[in-house]
Amino acid sequence: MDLIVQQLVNAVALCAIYALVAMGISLFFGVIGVVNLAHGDIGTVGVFAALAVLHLVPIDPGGGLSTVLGAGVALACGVAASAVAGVLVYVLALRPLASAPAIIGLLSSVGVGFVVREAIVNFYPNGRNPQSFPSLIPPTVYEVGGVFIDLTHVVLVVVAVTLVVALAYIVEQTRFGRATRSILNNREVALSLGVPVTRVTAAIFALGSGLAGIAALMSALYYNVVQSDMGMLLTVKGFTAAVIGGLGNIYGALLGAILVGLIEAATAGFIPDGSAYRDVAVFATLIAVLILRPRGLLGRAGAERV
Amino acid sequence: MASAVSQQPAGLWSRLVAQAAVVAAFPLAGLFLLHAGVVVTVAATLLLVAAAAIPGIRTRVSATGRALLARSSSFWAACLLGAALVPLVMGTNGYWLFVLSIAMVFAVMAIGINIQLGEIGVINLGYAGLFAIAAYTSALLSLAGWPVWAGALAATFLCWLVGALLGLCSIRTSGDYFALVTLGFGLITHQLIVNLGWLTNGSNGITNISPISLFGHTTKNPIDLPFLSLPPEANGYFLCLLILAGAVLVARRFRNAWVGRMWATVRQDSFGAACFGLNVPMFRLKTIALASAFAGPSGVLFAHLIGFISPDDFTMLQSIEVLAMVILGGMGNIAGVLVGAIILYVAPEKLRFLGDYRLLIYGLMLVVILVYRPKGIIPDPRRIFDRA
Repeated sequence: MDLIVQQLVNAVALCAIYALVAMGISLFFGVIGVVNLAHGDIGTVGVFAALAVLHLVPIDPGGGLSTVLGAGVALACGVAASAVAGVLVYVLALRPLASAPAIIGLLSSVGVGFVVREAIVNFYPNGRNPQSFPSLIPPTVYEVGGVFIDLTHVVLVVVAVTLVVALAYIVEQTRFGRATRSILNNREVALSLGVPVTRVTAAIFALGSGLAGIAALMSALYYNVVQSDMGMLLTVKGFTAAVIGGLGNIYGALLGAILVGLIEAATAGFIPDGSAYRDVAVFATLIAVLILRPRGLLGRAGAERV
Repeated sequence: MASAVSQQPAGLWSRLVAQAAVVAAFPLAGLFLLHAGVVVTVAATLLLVAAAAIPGIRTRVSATGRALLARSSSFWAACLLGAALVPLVMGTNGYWLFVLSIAMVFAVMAIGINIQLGEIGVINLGYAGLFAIAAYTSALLSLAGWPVWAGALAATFLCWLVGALLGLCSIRTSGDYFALVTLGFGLITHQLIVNLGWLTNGSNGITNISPISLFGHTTKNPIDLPFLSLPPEANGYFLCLLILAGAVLVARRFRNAWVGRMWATVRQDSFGAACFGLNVPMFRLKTIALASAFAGPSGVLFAHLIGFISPDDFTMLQSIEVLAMVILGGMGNIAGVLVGAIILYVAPEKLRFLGDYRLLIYGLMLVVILVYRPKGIIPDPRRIFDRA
């Protein structure tokens, strides 16, 4: 019993990371109809920006105000770098293709992913090899009723939940959110009603890419190792989660991320020798969900797009 | 094939000159690959960019291209003849022949993807999975003692069957969601190859796959005729050329028959096609199965020419690279797809002087070409009336 609970606890942190990536992918798909396969790589940009800043700030393991402040500044720089990179990608690589078929935007984002990964490999000092990411969160472990809970997990989950609630508030309650939802619903009508579609879309890219940056930073804090292609895994998992939930729906993305994280943990935990088959289980679930509910779990049943 | 844009009937002489130019272009391109250094490569690239960017030259070039394609049977024959001449100018250097053979393997695959993506607009992100199935089936069967041709038939049939199963999924899902199903399929195939070590030898891959042989002459022996001697790689080159020609022939026959018109109809308006009595889901399923079968011969050639396969050859990036070949070349246009496949496979080899920046430049090129030429290098003339 304890083992099961322990597996679930470990899964929750993964769920949190996937959820942030999936919501960004889902939002982007909703507003421009293009699957952005460079999403995770944009997050990687943030991680390496933060790492670069961290090398400038002295980190002593004892803590202290300057360390906390330095770490905070580094993480903020990382998130900001991701957001800026996301807007640049939209303006330079995706917006010029707005009138072309969606697959061309997808391919363009693949090219962007190449550029980001190779730029890190070539221009970041020693970027070809995995680098260690300092563990900024003290390695404290709590024991609750026989289950060990890492402080890192707690922080990750709290941050993710806060962000999800904030995003939901922004999308549901603010003026910007109303504009976003109108674009999600129908881009042409939103444009004709005076919504500044390009500006709002760019802002959504900043927001979503910032989330990707946070997710990648969370993953860096979780594993303490970063490398140039870490974003690809995030993209694939986040994308899967977004699709299981239904593209274009952020709550669906959340649900999908939780499912993906739980399935991964369950396969690794309960099936003997199962950790090698984690991804197989996740994608088999994806295919099953798509066949049973072709537009994802929370997707709207619309007219077939031709 | 009647082109969408009719041309003035050209005189016999100018036609002959044009065909001779097409034939001669291939050995010249071969010489370029063999001898061009950094300066010539950069100059040629700039020249191509200029041809694409300066409106005057561009219209001239595309008019010439259209005139050639208007008589497409003789154009294709000239291409085949020209391509067959390439090994003659290569001398004893087998490297570029080998690169070109593998490029043609990918071109066969790109023709298959083009049937899905270009003709009926179905996105397949897991084509490398089919490619892997073909390569592993053929390799394992030949290790078990089967002759290569029997293994190739089995591999092609298996690809067709798996494609039909994928097609079954397309009955329920469509568009981006079907693309996800195929993405999942590709990733699952990759993971299974890595994990089922007893069958596939896991991530170490399969080594020592036998070369293809005919009457005791294998693809590892040099061609030694009284009047001609060519390096061993020429065998693979001619074999790939033959298979590619076959693939082009099959794809063109389907495209020019009623099936091709139906493909266009389903792509543009599947409701309309259904209203006229076409069983759209079944038609789509059959098309996806047909397109998947093209992975068979290409996978077999890949496994037996290289002699070593491992899961790293069949990742998601591989699928996307083949998609990029189709899209960059010009979706729906077989000539464009071939150009895209050859350029995208050969360019990184020729760009080796860029060293570590090779893939960076490659990614940049991809984005820039897409942004400036979203319909591909040689757009399909049939699609000038297509909605975006």
